[in-house]
Amino acid sequence: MIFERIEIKKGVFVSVVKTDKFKTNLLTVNLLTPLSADTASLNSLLTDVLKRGTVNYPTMQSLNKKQDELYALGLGAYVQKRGEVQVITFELSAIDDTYTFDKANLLEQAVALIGELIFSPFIVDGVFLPEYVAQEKKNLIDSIKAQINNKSGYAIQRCNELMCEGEPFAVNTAGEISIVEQITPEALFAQYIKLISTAAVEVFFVGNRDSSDIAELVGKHLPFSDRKPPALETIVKTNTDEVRRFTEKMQINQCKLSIGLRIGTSLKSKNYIKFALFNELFGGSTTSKLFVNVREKKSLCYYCRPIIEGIKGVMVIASGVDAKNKDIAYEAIMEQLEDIKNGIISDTELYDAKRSLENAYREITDSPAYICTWYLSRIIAGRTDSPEEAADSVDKITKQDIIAMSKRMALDTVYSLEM
Amino acid sequence: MSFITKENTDIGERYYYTQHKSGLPVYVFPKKHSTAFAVLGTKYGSADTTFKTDKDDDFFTIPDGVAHFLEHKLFEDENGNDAFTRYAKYGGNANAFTSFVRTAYLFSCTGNFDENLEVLLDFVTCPYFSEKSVKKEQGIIGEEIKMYEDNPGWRVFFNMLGAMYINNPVRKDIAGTVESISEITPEILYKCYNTFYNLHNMALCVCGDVTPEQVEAVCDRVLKKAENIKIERYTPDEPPHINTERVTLELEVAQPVFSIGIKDTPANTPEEAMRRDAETEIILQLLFGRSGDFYNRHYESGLINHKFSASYEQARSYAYTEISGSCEDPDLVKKAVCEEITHRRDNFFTAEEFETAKRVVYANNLHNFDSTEDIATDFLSYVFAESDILDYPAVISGVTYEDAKNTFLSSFDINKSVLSIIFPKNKEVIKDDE
Repeated sequence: MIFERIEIKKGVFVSVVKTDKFKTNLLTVNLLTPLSADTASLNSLLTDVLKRGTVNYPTMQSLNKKQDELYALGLGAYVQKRGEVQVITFELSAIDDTYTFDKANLLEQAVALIGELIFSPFIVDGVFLPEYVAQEKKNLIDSIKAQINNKSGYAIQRCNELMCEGEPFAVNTAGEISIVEQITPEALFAQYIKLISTAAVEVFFVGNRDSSDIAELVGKHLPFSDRKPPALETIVKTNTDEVRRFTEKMQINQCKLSIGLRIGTSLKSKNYIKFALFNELFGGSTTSKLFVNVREKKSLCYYCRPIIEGIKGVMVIASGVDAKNKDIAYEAIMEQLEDIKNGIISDTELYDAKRSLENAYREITDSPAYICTWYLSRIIAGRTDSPEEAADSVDKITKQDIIAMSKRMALDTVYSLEM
Repeated sequence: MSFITKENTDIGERYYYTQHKSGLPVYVFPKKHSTAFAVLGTKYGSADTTFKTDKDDDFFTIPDGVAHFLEHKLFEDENGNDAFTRYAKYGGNANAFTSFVRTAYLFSCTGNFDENLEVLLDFVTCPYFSEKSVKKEQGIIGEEIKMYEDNPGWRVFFNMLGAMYINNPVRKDIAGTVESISEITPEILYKCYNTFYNLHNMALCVCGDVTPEQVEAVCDRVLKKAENIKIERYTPDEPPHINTERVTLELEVAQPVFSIGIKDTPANTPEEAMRRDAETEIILQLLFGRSGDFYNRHYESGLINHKFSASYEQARSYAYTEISGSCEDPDLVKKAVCEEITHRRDNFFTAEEFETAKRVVYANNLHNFDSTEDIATDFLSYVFAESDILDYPAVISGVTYEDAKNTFLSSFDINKSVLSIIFPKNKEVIKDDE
């Protein structure tokens, strides 16, 4: 897999992974800015309002009909965070021209349409249509409220928020209800203009085209200007003062226990791969200590797994347990970490964790979405190593490396959601 | 042994088939990806609760949740080691799942394919169940069941099935209940294993950069010839009408969550089932698709939002349409859905709208051929439905306007529609900092 990255304008990069493995071509346009509570709600609402219509396709129905015509073109816009970087993503997936009935030039039409979605929104009197803004505000508020529907996801999110209280990482990318309620079409439009003219731009393409073709298409249909984007920094805390414990009540059958830790490194570090292997051995695979001991041997839970944010350098160990076993489960989980710190790692555990991690890296190359995700995170962390290179560097990691990484883990926050 | 080749030149895909001498049907779908994927499945799911073989005099009825329990237990061998450990040596990433009509064991890998396949074939054909290991699993699955009890999407779906079906076992949760799994014994597990894990009742589907000969050689090493036993499944008669029109439950959700079900009559032949899939996919795109009048009218009025979706499901003994979402007033959505269906009976879509919808369904289906995982798991569903994954693109293209209209008239009967709703229990989240 060859990765090429070209700067087509100052601060505007196009990255291409050329492959004929897939029947679909994937293109994502990512606008990167510092994550902040002031703009997160605006950005989140913005992606919803932009999807409502463009100059040529002013209604959602006309836009969707155009997508149908282009062989069910996938067109999306959403927000995410990578560490303390806010990412506003526009995404298209189009079947390759080879598979169309009329061998149409689908990709160019698709890029033109995503260009229109980003650069030619439907506006009235210089701002977004007030009805669209009002409707999407209501939908967004409903979906922020609905974050409690997924209990496991909610417990992980709350643990991260509480652990990183006061740090930009605690910002909910979906938005805050009280802020969303106050947004006017004027304020939203001002944020839109600021975003497309100042944010760092990273375009990714995975599919069957040369990088020069993609750079040309992007240059033609996505008229980003030269820019000097603000620095994108993430504060990585590596130690904690005292462990904080929180309990929230909800009428649920199963207690969700989330344990938040600082991992003592981040994706920026060349040591990160050692952490990744530690994580695989600790809880990342079905032969890990958490799976084998806490789930299989002690029969305490159905799931118990670490969720990592590599750029921020935090981990939440998420599990669902019977409320009466909460303390036993907590002890059992922490005991696995202590064991690693004390060097209790068998050769088999090490060998298995290595094979599992290598395999996970190599599988990334078979999914256009995973490829884009991989390089987006890497570029934010200031690197461009490939999944294959990562896989090739796993084997030389030693038991001592893993023990050293485990000793950097700092317990920060214990959160439980229960009756 | 010779393999039969099947090819679809329109989409540039092919596969090889043979019945291995052990009795196992084997399908190999070459794909130049780094990841190879294999799935070994049995035609045995949560709905197979009453059955007999040609050697039994009478039917057996087993507790709910056995198929899923067996799936978990098969991973463990006589010495208490699990199959995950065996895969781990070769970097295989393993999993398994149980549905109403099948159980499947799978792995993906980027190296050591033969060794990983050997693990798969070996552990699935070597059961070991003991009192002690059954007891232990009751704890883990008990937590899995409780996890699903808090999942509004899962609960609203099963309540919808319960409202549609009167006798069909699909109305029951795949994992059973904490009570029903407490009745499971090693004897019951062996009985089910010996009935359904016969190689003739199973299939192996492989997708990746592998050759049919390679797969066959591993099968030769591991598999022993199985006797072809005949399985008789008892499915209680299901009346065409519904059980109850509306069912509700309260859970911790922010906004009501709903599923509307429209009960349909199962197809008579595999060919009919595949045509029905293509036709209903096109019909649902026309009726409720993102570019359609219904979705846009009601999105703009605020009745529905982007969570609204519609799909059609069918297997051996059931068939239904599900329309689901989250909104303030699910009763009003159901009313609007029924009105739309009634209106379209006399005012069906135009030929041009039909052609566009067909193109959308055709293109969406192509996406399924980009991942070795999607191909292998879909392949298994098609095999067990006695149809062929490579026939589906042409079946979609072949649907005529009249076919779609006729299927719409017969499969969308609003007198057989139900509504399942999860209402919010208590919107307050009490925060208590210790």
